[in-house]
Amino acid sequence: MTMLSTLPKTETTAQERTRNTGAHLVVRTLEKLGVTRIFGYPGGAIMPVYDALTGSSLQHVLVRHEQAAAFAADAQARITGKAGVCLATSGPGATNLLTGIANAYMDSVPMVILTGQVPSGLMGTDAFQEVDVFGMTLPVVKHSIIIRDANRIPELIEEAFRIAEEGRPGPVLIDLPKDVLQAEAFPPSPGAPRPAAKPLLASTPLLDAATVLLAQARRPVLYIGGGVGLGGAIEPLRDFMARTGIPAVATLKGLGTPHPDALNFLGMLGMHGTRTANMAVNESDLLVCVGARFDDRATGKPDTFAPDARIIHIDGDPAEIGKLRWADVAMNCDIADALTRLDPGYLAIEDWRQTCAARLTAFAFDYDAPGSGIFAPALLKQLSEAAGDKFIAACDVGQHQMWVAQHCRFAQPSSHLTSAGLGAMGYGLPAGIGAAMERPDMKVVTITGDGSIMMNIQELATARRYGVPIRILLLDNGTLGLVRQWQEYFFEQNFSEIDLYDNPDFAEVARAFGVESFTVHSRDEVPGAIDRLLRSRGPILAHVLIDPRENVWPLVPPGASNADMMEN
Amino acid sequence: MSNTLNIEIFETEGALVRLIGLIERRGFVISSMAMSAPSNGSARVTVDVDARGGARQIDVLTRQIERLFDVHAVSRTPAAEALDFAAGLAPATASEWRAECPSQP
Repeated sequence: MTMLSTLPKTETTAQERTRNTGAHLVVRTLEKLGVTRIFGYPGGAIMPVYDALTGSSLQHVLVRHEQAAAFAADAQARITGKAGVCLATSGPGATNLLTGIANAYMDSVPMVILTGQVPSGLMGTDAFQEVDVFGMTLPVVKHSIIIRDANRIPELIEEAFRIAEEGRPGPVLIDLPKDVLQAEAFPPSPGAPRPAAKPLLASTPLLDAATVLLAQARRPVLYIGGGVGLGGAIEPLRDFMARTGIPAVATLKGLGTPHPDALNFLGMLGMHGTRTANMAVNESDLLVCVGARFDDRATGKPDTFAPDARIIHIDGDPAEIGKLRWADVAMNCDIADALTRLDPGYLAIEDWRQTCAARLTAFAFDYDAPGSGIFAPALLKQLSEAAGDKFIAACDVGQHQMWVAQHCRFAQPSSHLTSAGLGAMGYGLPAGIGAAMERPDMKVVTITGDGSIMMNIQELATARRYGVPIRILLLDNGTLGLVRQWQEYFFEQNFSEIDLYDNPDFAEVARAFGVESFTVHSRDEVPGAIDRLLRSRGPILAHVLIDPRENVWPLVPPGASNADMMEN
Repeated sequence: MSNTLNIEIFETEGALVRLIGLIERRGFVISSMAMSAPSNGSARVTVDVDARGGARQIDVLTRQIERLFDVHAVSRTPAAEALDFAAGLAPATASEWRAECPSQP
């Protein structure tokens, strides 16, 4: 077998760089749009693009599974607000992207996905590695395009970026038949760039109506979702909270939007929300929903969610208003504009504020767990405090994800990368890689479990190859903890297929990938472990052994009212 | 109650399947459908739809269709109460909305 290194290296000539195939146009258009990094994996149909990448200014990050390319691009996009880009071949390359595309769709993440496709003449003939990725992804994309004419490549890629980023962001898929990539093309000169869409300002009559409801309310609650950050309305929201003093709760995606030290922030609401947040929503007489969508994990049983509350719903997406809950005042507009101009003046809610504040103290989390075992909530709180405002958590999915949401402090929504809508195990490691490559100056920590890490553990190779400054905190309880918890309480302790007793030694696995690692066994080792993790340049993995019987509290049982929280 | 939607779509690849998929996926059944021959780059699709059950709002479906980039106009028969956020009007009256969604308070 010939070693790759012994093959003659092909030099990129000036002529090569100026070739005008469809593939070269793809690369040059990405460069022109300011893209600097793409995540991908090569294969047959997309090979013309990989050929054209030679000599490009684009950094291509070679992941070890296409799903990781999508997750890494997603994380980069959540941090920059610009579309992340991933690239894969047709057939299995494209299908492997699906979970990552769905994840971006559910969480409104701007992403452009480029897939190779079999040549146009073979499309629809069940050709080798042919799959209808356009049809397959229709339910999980904001838009999608099959490019049939190489001359339209620049125009359509630019349009894809515009669609992905403007309004409510989302993923846009571009399918690229191989013959189009190989065709010589002479696209027309670009026209004048389309002006950016103007923000839809809040209407004065609606602001007046909202002001009246606020003045009448005695128990108002601000219900904050991810749309506030997406709408560039973080500062207006924080200012509104400070001006009005209205108690506020946040969804999983809304965390980091309120100032983390705001005294009127009551925490996350919903299934694993704080008792204070859920009680406040339950008792509220006015719910001001901003950039949230009444998701079932937040509302619990819908007819018992804020049962006495009137609703002011402010959202940039008109299709979210009235979808699951009637809005007494429906404001489809720019959230920043609405929050800036909504000024109800003095609100007679002092008793209500004091009630909520007293509950925050009374129902504060207790970090004094018995025994010498590692108590994950306390560890995560310490980690978050030690990292401070430089902390970026890239979560996987499971108990650790909920503990992170409950016990960590986020300076910004982009400090908390989590698969919220889709709940996709396997997100954490590639998302951490995407985040750490984009923000090496921050303390990016992937927080994962022994179930989740195994879904994309191959990406340790990517972290090693690129020297990614990522810290991995692996909370290992030897079980699929959240499923186990539900089986314990809602399936009569019939523990079915949750035991991961035969996990590998994860520290050894990491070392085999060339990644520094260590194992943490007991509580007294925790401070040193956090220090080592945060001081390391990374990649580094801390394998932390925790008690499999530990559960996430509080918990609203599925189908129950948020008022019926279970506690430990 | 059946509603008829008149939808102007651009003549682009996948526009029709994207539209039909959205209607079905959002919990509506298409009971009849017609499409005009494309003209000047667009075509008119007329569909009769019924909610499959649950809390499904025709005006929400209308707005979900309007979000599609392949669609440039949607109108509804019987005519919807004007969804005019800018004028301060709500999408329907609260009592109507609640009557259609018995699970809501």
